[in-house]
Amino acid sequence: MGTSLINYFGADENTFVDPPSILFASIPLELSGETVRSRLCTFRDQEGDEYALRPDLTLPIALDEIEKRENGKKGTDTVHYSARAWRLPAESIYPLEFTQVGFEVFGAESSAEQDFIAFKKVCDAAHNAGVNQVAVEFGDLAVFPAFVDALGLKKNQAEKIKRVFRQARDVDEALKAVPSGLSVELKSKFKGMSKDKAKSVVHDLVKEIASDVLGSRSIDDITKRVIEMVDESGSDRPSGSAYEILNEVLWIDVFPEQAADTLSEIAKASGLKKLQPMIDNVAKRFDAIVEAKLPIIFESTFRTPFGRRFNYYDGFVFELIDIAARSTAPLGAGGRYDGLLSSLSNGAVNETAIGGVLRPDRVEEAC
Amino acid sequence: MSQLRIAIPSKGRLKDNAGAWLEGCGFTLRQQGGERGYRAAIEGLNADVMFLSAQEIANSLINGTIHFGITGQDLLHESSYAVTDRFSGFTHNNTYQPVVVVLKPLEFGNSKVVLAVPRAWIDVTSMSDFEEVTAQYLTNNGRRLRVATKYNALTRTFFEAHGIVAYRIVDSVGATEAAPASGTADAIVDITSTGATLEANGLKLIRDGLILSSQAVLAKSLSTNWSKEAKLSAETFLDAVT
Repeated sequence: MGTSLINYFGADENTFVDPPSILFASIPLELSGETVRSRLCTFRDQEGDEYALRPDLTLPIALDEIEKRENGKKGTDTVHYSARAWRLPAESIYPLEFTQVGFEVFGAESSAEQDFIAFKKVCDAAHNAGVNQVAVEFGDLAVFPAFVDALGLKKNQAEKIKRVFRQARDVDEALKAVPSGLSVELKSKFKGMSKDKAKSVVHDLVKEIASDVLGSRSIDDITKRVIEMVDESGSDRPSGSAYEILNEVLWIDVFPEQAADTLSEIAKASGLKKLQPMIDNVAKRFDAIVEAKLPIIFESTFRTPFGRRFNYYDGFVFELIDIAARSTAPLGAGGRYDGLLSSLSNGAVNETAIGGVLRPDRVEEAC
Repeated sequence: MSQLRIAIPSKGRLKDNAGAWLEGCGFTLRQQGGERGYRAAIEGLNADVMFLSAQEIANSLINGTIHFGITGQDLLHESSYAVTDRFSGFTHNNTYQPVVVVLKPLEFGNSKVVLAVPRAWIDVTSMSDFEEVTAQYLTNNGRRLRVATKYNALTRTFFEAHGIVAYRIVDSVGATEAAPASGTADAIVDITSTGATLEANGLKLIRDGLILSSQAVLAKSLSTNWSKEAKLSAETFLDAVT
């Protein structure tokens, strides 16, 4: 099974890669935070350094790609792979060790056309391997943040709403939680104060506390946030209309061919003209997918929140589910992660990326 | 393991309080091998009583090598995601089959597991502030703020519930409260009773940063084997203590 998939992904003579199985644990932990630790297989060496078995192939391949780019590689680079990955399962019915077969495309245009090509490649590979029909879930992780930005909310408020969205928390509940904010006493102290004056007051306050323990934060960091909090006080929850618009966008659950029209209606009714290019991109992508009439697709949906817990993805995302429904675990998945190389290289390498992957064990089950 | 096996703390006030509580329930402990012995018998009960550290008791309950034990709620919840405890209000968000059940809070060994941040962070008074600060720090610096703790599992569950993801845990082996002052961490999760040690180390509590109010509890292992003999003794034991 694995071989037919490898042959398919490698058919256009792109490079086969076999990246390292072991990574410094700090790489996935810095990238995705401690929440990913419960899924990582980690160990320490004699000197106490912590390592992890690769939880997927995308991460080590992205690290290799950064190295290539730092050594002068330019243009589009397509690679394919077939290798083991290790992830502690969320449920005991799933294996800890499994094979992934897939491909990654770096440095190509970030466009609806490339999204379609990547999606079609995964569908065709699964179909070619013998999977008859799947249900497809689509999402686009750029949609909700684009609406948040277009609403012109205050910076911290907008950032918080976007974070809550990515953490798959209830946006409403999160905004109702104990709000951030200065004490009434501090608010009145800093109200209307110049930045320089505020900085010296923060210095004095810290001195008064008689503690030089700041952790990694500087007095400048603290001052900056204090000033922002004075400017933005009482604004944890957006205004009624902004909130309604975001709620409407958040719960879109339609056929993919209806996604762009639904988004367009909300944007027009809200006077958010700036969003049209993003919506046109959604329309182009799903038009291409619908027109292709891929025989493997039995049914498909687009949901705005779909894929928001996936760590790397930041645009188009999809999953293929076996309709025989012996399991809801996807047999294939993929999407766009244009920000990953930049995140992993501290901004040194900034290239687009899109990929797709199949699980041969699940493909076999679905055949 | 045919005989009923009960473990109680081997040292300090926990040991004294556990002994006193058993005495109050009508069970007198006879320590074997004097004060330093690690075994005891209970008059009128067919049971093998062991003195273990509170952490070993938590581990033994989880892996089923004892039937009952007295230990701290903090240690139980830290050591397993599968503890049923209707008394603490704390729960790990998962669907694991329970392996230990807390039967009774014993009203000693009280402590609180809390998040503490530098007192100089005058802009941080709530978990919502802490979430914002950790996220901004990651965005601005490409690194995560570090939290020193021995309570990795409790920290992860509590932070996840508050949407805090932009942090790293630094394993603490010694004096956790000193980690921010020594530069090895930015905040801590640790136990406190009065907060005085935290304050002495330049730290403060935040409004909703209480993770778990812990105390010593009597707990039962659900993953152990029960012989007829152990079941009979357990009935006598539970009749008297619950």
